[in-house]
Amino acid sequence: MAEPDRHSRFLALLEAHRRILYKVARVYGGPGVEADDLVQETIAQLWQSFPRYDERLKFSTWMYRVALNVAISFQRREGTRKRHLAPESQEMLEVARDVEGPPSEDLALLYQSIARLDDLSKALAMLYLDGHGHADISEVLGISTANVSTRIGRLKDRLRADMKSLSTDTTKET
Amino acid sequence: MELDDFQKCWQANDARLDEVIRLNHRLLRATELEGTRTAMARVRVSLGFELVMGLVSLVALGAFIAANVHELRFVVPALLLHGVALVLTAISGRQWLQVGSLDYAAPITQLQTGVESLRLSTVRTTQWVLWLSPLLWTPLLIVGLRGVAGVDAWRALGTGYLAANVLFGLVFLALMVVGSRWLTKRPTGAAWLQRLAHAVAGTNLNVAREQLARLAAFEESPRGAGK
Repeated sequence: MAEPDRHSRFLALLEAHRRILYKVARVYGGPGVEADDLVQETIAQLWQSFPRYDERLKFSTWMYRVALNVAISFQRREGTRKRHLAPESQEMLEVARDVEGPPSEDLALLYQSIARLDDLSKALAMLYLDGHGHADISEVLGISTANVSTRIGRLKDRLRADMKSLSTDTTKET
Repeated sequence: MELDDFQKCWQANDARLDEVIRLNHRLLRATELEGTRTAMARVRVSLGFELVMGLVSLVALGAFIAANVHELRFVVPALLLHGVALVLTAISGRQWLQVGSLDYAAPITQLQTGVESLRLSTVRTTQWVLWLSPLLWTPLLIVGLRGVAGVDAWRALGTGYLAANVLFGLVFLALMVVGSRWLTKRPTGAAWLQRLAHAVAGTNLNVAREQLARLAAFEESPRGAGK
């Protein structure tokens, strides 16, 4: 594929799946991990890996693999060095400020519950919540479908318990 | 909240996200993207530099050994340095190839195992370099003085001075190991000192090993599955 074509196709696919970038950055960002830096690193890695993108795989599945791999590595790298492709005042992924907050209390609780999980379970939770099938999740994580089923069962229990406890804490605070 | 509601809540937010987030196309021009180096690309450049430096030192030490082949007092320390340089260059080369083979589009457990194995290898190499440095100082002094200035360190400084340097290196190494273990248990001092202490004590080795064990456990079905 010619360079301009490849770039246009990359942008079109990135545009169509931009919410993955946001969600991964939101879940894996936090203390010591700048969400903007994570988005930049993810886009750079996606672009670098794009020539090897296997069209037999759904783009969202492929993108999740790259984005989650970058996020987990990024989170684990010691002393994350700030690196800006763009000037600090500009972001690759812009969020309308007036509607940036979570739309519901439930979603905020869900994000809080996910934040309590380890880095691999966070990936499982995101893929499950996005509605990916067990086979898809198995391809992204590199574990068997039977393992995916078992882990999703446990994840649901964990999320249910965590959300209940978080919800109780919130009620007490108010 | 019931289980299906988790997914409904999450997916309902997707539609909203499409409305409120947008890509900054000005920052995504092909030239900007081409000019960006990922973290691993930067690691590869740094390993490539180490590899080149290693090869240069191997050639330089080889030339030194050839020029002083009949003088054992120079050949022995040079051979010692040559051996260390050879091992370090081989490790840099292996790590350079390892970084190049990492595919971020690979399944998560596979890629993360590769990244963590690489981390384990770099942490271990750094620890050995730090441990060997106080001991290699004396042979480096002998070879450096002879190779650069043509000075015979054995005659100019005396055997006693050189032997004292080796002894001092051993004492320094022991103090360094004990001191680093002490420092890692007390999170005080400058950040660079803490990083150095952790590198000498090898605490990051355990962190990498633990992550590898976690990855292996994640690949296995949890115990009690299906109950």
